[in-house]
Amino acid sequence: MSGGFAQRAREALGNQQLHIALDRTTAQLVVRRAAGLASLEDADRVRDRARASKMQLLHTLADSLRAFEARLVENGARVHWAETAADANRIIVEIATKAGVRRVAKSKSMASEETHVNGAFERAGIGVVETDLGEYIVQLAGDRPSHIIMPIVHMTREQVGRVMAQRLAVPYSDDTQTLARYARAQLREEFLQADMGLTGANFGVVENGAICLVTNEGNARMVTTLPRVYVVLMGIEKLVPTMADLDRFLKLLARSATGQKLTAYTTLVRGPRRSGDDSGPDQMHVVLLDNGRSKILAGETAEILGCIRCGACLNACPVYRSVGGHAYGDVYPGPVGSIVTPGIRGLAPFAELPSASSLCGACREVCPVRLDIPRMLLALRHEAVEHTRQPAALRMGLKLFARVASRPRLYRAATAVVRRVLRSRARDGWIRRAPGMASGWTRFRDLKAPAAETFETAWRRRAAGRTS
Amino acid sequence: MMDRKLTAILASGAERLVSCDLGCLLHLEGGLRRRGAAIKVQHLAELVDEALE
Repeated sequence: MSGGFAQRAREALGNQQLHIALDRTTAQLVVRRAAGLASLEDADRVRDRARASKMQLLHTLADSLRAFEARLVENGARVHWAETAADANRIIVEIATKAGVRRVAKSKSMASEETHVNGAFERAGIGVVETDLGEYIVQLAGDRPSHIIMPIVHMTREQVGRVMAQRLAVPYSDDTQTLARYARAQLREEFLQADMGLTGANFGVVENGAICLVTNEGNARMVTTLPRVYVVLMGIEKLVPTMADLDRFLKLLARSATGQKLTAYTTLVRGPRRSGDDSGPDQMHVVLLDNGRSKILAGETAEILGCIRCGACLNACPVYRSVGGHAYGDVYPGPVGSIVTPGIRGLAPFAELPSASSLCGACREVCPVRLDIPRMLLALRHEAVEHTRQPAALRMGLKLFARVASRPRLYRAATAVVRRVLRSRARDGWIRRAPGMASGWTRFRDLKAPAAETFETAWRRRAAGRTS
Repeated sequence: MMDRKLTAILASGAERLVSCDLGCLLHLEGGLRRRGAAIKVQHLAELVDEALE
């Protein structure tokens, strides 16, 4: 990953293809989400209740995890605890090696993106294939996903067509149906050949140990039933207390993500194949991943663990819509990524992310569980300033401002000078090219010259006029 | 971001743009002016003041 957010954002802004692709999809998703939520009776109440149950659960997360583990074991699954991404990968590769696995079929999983498990498999000589259409194309292209639910939102269908033509030796097409058919033909074979299935979890239900997965392509269903070994890799925060809670979350997730009332496939897995079952894996493993989540839980941004990864905040965010997901520099992009990434990877290398926001609040508006994302971004900005050394000019400037601004007479005198300077440069009350430090402003817009009289003076005059 | 916003504002056919955020007003009015657009830009307080006069 080259440079910081600012540099990557600048590059992204100059990428015409990216803008075509982003504009096509995000605008459409925003409209669909609004229509989706409108179709839910008492949507605000559903959101409030979903939020309340998640926050309650996070409050007693350790207890919920123990209860969840007990149900999983009763259901016949084996449970593994992974403190770091490296631990998770080691555990999963070990499971695969022990079971003599040669080929792994994956369903889309952000947790597995987070640990980069594909690389770990490949290093161990185990083949791995993504079966979500978007992720499959990412894998073919040697690219990285740029959206939580739409991994290739940054690609145009023409680009996808070229990747497929090149990697699958099929005739070029930019028709989405044809492209989907190409992928389907390939993936059908992969499902049948894989001896291990790996998925994430959209939700884990504490009361019965069920793993819930939602897809629009049915690939999770194939991956959880056909291979003989099945592994779930899930973050420890993905729990919901009961099936009734799950119902609320499912209603919100699909609507917020794509505007659908329900995703095409909702898969619930409660353990490996039992005697008498026609299909299902011989063994099921659940790897519970911490990877910085406990640390997040103990800090100012604990609320972010309530995120259900719908991606609505990405589509709503004017910054994301301008720069796309790759600019955020890690697995989780957009407003949620600006909080999660510093949480799991450390704030220092990602200190710019919390500032990649105008704090307009569009993310908070659309969040199905009403996460106060702007508040958390501000908390991280605060932390970044406390822990990293700011440029000398900025520190001096702010110190000077604090001095002037806290002395009313000095402040009035100083602003009078600035007012006079600016007004002398204005024509018809506007400045086309501002001097010195203010020149950045007038690169893209005009600067309004200050009024002849300050609000304070005008107000005093008016008040005096009224009483006399 | 500003370009997208301004395009949407102009496409709406509105005669006035009202906001309660001074930073937004300065930013958007400056952008509209650079584009040569003639939409009236006001703070909410100015609008109320105008209505009360």
